[in-house]
Amino acid sequence: MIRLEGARFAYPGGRQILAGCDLAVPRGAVVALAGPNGSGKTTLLKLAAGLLKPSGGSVALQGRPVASWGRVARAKRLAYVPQTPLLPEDWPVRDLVALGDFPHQEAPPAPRPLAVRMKEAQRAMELEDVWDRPAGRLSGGEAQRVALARALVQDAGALILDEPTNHLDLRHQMGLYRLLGALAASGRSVLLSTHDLNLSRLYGQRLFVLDGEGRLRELPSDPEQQGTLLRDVFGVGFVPKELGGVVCWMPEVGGEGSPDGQGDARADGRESQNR
Amino acid sequence: MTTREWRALWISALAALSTFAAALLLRLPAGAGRAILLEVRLPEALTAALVGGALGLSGLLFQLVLRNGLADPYVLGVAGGSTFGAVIVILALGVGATSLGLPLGAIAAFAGGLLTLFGLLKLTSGKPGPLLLGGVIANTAFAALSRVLTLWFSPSQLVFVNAFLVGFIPTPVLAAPLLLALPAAYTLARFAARGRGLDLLLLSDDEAASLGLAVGKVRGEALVLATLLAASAVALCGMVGFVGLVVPHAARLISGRRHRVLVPSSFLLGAAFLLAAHAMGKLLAGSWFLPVGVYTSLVGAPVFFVLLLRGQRRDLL
Repeated sequence: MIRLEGARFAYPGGRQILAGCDLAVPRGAVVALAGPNGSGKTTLLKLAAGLLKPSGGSVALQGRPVASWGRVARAKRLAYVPQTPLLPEDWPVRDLVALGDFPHQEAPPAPRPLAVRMKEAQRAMELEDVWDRPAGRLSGGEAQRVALARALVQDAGALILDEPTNHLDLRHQMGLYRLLGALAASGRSVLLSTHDLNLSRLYGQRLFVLDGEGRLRELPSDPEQQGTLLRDVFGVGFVPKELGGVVCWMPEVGGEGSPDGQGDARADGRESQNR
Repeated sequence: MTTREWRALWISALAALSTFAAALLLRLPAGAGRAILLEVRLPEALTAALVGGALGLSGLLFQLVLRNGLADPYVLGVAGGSTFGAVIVILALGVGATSLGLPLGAIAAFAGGLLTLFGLLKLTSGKPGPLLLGGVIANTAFAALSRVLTLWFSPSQLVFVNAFLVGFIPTPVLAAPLLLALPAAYTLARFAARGRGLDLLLLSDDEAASLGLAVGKVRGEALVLATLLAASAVALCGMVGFVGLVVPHAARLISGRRHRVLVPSSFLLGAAFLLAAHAMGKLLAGSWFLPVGVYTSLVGAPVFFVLLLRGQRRDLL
């Protein structure tokens, strides 16, 4: 269970990135975080992972402040995969994935043997063909899957993944989301960031949006309100489309509110400031 | 540990032992008594082994922490800074490496090395290209300053300082190499057992921290110990070049990538490299004598050049 209450963050002397965010990721849930570039998604994930300290508010893991866990105790409970993992290029995939066992070197040992966890991670991330290949010879998607496999070997109750579908082809994106659903079903908490709103919704993930002003809002259940929120936040118009009972949102190409259309004051105002 | 890793450790140990025997026995004068063996050859061989091992280990730690395969105490200017610190003490006290001034020299060398390293890291923000150029500049400047200092002292000290700037194996009392044995043993014990923690330093800081590593602490400890090893080696033998550069690459070739093997293997291969250079000096003794640093540089410079070209191809510089 991960819980943020009124979490704020600002770099010393810099602008405020997060302005009091509330978020709960209970056991069994997959929560997705969306938002424009630079809206603070990575910052929020790092706060939740205990890698950054909040300037205000609180961040808790399993009911205790995340900073109060020892480094190893925290790593046994929470795994984090950054947006762009750094893999030493001459290390073979097998050894890189095994690094996920590092926190379990200290007592108490992991409940399940390393060999079992390695085999599961290898199969889940489809790494059989590249298992002995050095990281320097992997594609972007393969490297991403290696980092995810390492997090699976860590066998933690909470997973925090920064844009985990980066570089993945559609089949692997769907495979990953199925896996995250299964991990949640087995009692884990999953928090991830994404730019693909629809895939998240199609896989039943709860979707939160960071609005570029450091505020976090859950996507409302009312489709009309959803459209308004997305348009406000992303500065483009959206058209609803229902797929299998889920309202998905297609960008309104060339329409009012889109960057390539005639322009909407609210959205384009912020975009032009950014430029 | 895998079969390959065990084999690598055996090869490293055999290399160290055989070169140690060579340094002890090569061209031993006929009829030489136990005295020469125990009072000259043994302290020299021990010094070469420990200095080589310390430089190999130091190079491995520098390359890991700075994420730069071209880093070593010599290239980074740490050896130059240490040399300058040691030379000040040697000249001021009028003593050589065999005397009680050695611990003081080591402390001054440590201070000189540490100041140079952190100064260069700060000035260059740790960027590989500027850091290496800064190291070369620091080495040249400290060598010149060390020679300038000799103007105020006797010609014999100039000879000593010149040998110091190239790197040589003195004939110390047996206690002298022990000065180096302590930090080397500590570093070996500390990092061979925690090799996995060193492995994590190859990842990004966030990844390593999320796996439970105290990144700043381990990195700081590795940097300070690498500098201490290099400084103690310099206090004994002066500026022996390129051992710390060549050895970790050789260790990776035979041992693979995991630091629980690379740490002991770099120490043993470093010892073997310097012992081999020292033994080479013995072999050629009589025809012409060259300080041991000449041999290490003759091997190290081309290796450095090849690594430099490889790094340039990968846009690392």
